[in-house]
Amino acid sequence: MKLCGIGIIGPFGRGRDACRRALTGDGAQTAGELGGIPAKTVPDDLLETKELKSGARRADRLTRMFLAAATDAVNEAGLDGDERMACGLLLASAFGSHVLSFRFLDDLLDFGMESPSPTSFSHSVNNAPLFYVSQRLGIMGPNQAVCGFDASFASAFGLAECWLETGECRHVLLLAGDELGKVMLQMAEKYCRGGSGVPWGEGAVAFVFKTDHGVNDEASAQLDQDTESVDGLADLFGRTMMASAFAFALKQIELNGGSNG
Amino acid sequence: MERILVTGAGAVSAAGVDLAANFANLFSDELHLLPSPTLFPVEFRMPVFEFSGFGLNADLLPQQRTLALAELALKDALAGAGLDPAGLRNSQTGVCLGTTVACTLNDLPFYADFRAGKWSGGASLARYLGGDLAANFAKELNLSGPVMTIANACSSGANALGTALSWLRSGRCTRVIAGGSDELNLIPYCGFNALQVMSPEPCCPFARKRQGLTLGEGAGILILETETSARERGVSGVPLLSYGCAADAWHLTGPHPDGMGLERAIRQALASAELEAGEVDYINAHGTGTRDNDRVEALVFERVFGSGAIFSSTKYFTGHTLGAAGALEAAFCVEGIRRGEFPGNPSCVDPDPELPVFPEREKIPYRGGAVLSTSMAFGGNCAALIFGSEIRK
Repeated sequence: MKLCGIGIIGPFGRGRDACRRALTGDGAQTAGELGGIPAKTVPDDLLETKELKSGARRADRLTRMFLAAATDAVNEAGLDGDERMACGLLLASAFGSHVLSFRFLDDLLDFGMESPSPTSFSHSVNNAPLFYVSQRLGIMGPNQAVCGFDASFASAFGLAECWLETGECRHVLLLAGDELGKVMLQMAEKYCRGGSGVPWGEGAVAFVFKTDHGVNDEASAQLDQDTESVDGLADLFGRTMMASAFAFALKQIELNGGSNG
Repeated sequence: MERILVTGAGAVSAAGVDLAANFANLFSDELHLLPSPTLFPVEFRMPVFEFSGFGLNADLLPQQRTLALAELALKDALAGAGLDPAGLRNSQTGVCLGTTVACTLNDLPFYADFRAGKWSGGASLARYLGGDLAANFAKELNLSGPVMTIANACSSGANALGTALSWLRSGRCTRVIAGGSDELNLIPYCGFNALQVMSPEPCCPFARKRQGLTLGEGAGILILETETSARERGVSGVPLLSYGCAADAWHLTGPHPDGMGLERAIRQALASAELEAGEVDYINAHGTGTRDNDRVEALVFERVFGSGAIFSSTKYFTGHTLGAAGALEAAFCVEGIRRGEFPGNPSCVDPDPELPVFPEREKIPYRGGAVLSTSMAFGGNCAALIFGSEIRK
């Protein structure tokens, strides 16, 4: 399969250019904190734009990260209306919308079982971001959210290949990412120590793949790379279970240059 | 293109401890319904379908129960397929399972302690991180094929079967264990109540008086393999002819009012199977009992299949098992094909007059044609599976 569009958003900013600048040491975000724990987070001003909030007022940060990356990838791929309508959509996330899940649990504990927020519940389902991407970008082919922690991206990548090979669709938009939240971060600090002091991070990437009838093993070959050998990965995204997705994106950007301006 | 066959199917729900028991119950008057959950303390009462059967300890913790239900259904499916678990070791067998509960850390007592600063040793977190359904199956059986857990809300089970079909057709493996599982859990119980879509009475899909869904729990597991693999083993199978999947892109929790996504999924499945609508004998509808779902499904059935559309919903007997539903109902379709009949909708005594078509109340004879199973989910995901008549060894 052939890669024809990339979108990327992380603590360093949004887009290929921001990513390349960060890789060269110009503009990389210094570590911040979340709930007093060192963390690399996507700047809030990038997610509070009119573009991302329009029609997605109730969407959470994770969904807006995916929306940002997906929009850039689809625009770069230049898909027209019919192509978008038939495009497949996959989402890989280690933890999904955990921030909203815990917010729902907060409601149950604070207000009782009969008074939680229905919005928190409905938006906490793993495939909720797919709905917003689908609606905003007109992507209406087969769609699935894959959950499998650090194996999520490889699974979803394999399925994208499969869909294109079997002709279920001619394009696939594959999203991958995770967000940080205070609760999971505190749990990670408590129960998952280690990682050479690299702070936990968040971000989202999006890839548009299309059928390539020629021999093209580049995309899947690069997925097999050891993520630890990908320069800049930890600096840009911090420590994350979606490292393989971010590593794949960085490698592609390194190969193909900047834009998404 | 080589045919893909369902050589074994297992089902666990409030309606029975295995597929045979479930299927028999679909033709009875018995409803294994409780006035409210017994698995966890609740502050309000809504009827639910809880599984009660051997091998399932009532003390199982969140996520453990989902896995346990899946394992019971797996045992049933493997037995039906004539497969010895030990014989699957190192085989090119994939696993694709759908769920909603097992992919979220939704253990309320653990979280309450956590908020209060009581560190409970991380067992809940460890259970969550080790609870990937498909990965557990693959590890337990020592399988070498692709592995995936899907979290697509109420169509997860159907999506898992569709994914299995794609894997097999692309040659990634020769056999897949596919399906879905979900335990009855406090979070969706409170969540659906907050959305005001739960019925205070047992759900009655497509009926005039329907007030919403009734939650259930269960698992449906199907063994899919290539026809070559089935023939080599000398076993019969029901073909999974096709899978259609499309997004509504309308509303996060409600279907497109004209059923656009469902219609596209159904027509994709028909086209992929090279079938005309008239060749479909029976439809197992998603039929949750909510006003919107049932209205939209009936609308689409009439549009695609005409006024003679023959369908029913089995959720009256099992409740809505969320991530398991699509797979559980697929298992019912397979069993119906094998036994020559499908259950009706006995609860639909007074069908909604606003619907263009009504479900069958009495049992439906199988005439040897295609059988369709539909699923619809939060997020607007719509799925359609088409099965064909059994291929005997």
